[in-house]
Amino acid sequence: MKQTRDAREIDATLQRWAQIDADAGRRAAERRREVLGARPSDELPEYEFSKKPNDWVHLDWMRPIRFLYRNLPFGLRMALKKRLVR
Amino acid sequence: MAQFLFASSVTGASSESLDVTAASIRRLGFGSKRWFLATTGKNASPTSDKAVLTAPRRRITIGDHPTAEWVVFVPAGDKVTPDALRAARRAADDVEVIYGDTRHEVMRSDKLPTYQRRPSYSPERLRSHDYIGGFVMARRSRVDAAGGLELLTAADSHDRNLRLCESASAVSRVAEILNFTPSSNFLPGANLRAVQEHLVRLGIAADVEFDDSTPCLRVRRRLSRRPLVSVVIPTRGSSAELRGRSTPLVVNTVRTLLQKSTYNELEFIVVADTPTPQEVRAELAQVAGDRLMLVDYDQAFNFAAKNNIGVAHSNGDFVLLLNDDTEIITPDALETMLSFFEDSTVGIVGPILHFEDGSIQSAGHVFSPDPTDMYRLQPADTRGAHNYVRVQREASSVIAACLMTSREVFESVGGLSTQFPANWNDVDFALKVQQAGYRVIFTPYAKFFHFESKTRVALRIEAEVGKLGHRWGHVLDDDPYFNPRLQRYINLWRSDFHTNRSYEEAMG
Repeated sequence: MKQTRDAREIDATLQRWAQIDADAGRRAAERRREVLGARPSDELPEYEFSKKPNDWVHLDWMRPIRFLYRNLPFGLRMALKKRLVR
Repeated sequence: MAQFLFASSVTGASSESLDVTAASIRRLGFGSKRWFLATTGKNASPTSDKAVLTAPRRRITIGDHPTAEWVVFVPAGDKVTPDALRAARRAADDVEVIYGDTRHEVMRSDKLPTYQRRPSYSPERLRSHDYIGGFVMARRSRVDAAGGLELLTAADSHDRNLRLCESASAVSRVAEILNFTPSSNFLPGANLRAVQEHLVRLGIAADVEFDDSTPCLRVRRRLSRRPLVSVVIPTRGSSAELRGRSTPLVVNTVRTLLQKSTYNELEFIVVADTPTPQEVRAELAQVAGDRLMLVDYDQAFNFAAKNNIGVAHSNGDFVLLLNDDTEIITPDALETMLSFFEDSTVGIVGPILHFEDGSIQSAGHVFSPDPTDMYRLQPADTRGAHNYVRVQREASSVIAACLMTSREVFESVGGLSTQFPANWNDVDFALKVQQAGYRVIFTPYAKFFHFESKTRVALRIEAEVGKLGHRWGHVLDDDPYFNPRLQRYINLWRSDFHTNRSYEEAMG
């Protein structure tokens, strides 16, 4: 069986890695801040897995548009739909 | 203002299919259009070419347009959407190639159109099969550098995409429908010769062969050396029923690796919790002999810390992180994984993992947005959408139950983060590795069993979700190797019809 390495050597290695990990985490968090467009002083919200589907069609501000659309003549509605739905 | 030149091959194309494409080009806006038709394909029939080329095409000029900024390669019969040109106009300066999603004009029984959603640029996957397809846009300068307009238009789409992408400064995936196709074929094709030539152009020493069960290619890089691989296994020395017999799991892992693997340059670093039984330790010593190093671990459970300690004690240039409840299946699994490191841009390689009954435990992770084992619980022979499970490809993360990395990469990112003692230390590790500029590769040609309980649900610790999101929330919400139009919170690659259906319902 092989001999393990000296414990102090291992501790020093683990500490060095912990420091590198912390730096990598800091860089990642800075990148996230950039993506979110937040200023350095802004407090970022606690992350949660989002659960909202992208259902923009049923947003409140779409209601009048949907109403107008449904009341268009059939041919025009179909022509618009053909171009818009994909 | 960007100028566009459309390009199609007339090889095997009917006049009707070109009319369909011509009509879609005409609808793209005002002004004259330029359309280049290549007639030099190997199977081009002179008679049909003549008929096709002489047909009147109102407001479209047939021929080259050397000053066009973008070339839009469109298969005859496909329709171009305005989103395609919009994507090109909005592209960043360094983007040289753009591809996107496809709508198939084939209705399934539920009367919904079908979509082909694509991941971001994945060079390893493109070597396996042509997941980009026939519709692609490239800057004219890139087209000229990659072989010229005529050659690329007449070329097979796999060949064209490899040539365009292999030296591009940036390749952009747009998660929008860029073309409609009448084709009912959803499976990407593969061109063996095109991949062989591509590998020669890039100087990659590898052999290419067709997969025996799927229309895709396997690229086998040649191993230039056989370095020492350190297998790091954290354990508590537990036993479990395996094939009807009570077996010490860690002993089974080591023994099977020694017996089945064709790679012999191995050492085993077993990081054993203090309660690990003496008889298990003795059996390990008997099985692995002088290849074994037993490291005692007497602290609170921390999977990341145990692995880090194991790697710190190890001597190999490469490290295989392995759970104690795994077993090698394919004898050349280690060579397969190791061969990827011939490419200095590869940081991690992960195999496909199976449950004891053969069903899939993990085919790599996607973030949707929680990290998910793809195709978990699906049958062993599952190919997945567009043969997703059967191809070697980039992944955002792979499970640490079995992954190979190099010592250099492991040390450069500080190993596994001990901030994640239970979950997602592998996800964080893979993302750190990518942040450092390396690629993470999934290969289905290296197979292991992972004797995890099929009903096990990882206990989600909210503090770990918060920590993971604090670092990587932007990636979790937009996994490059996923597609924002796919269903979330499932482990399948499946179109999200919710938006489309509600749109159609709302619009009547």
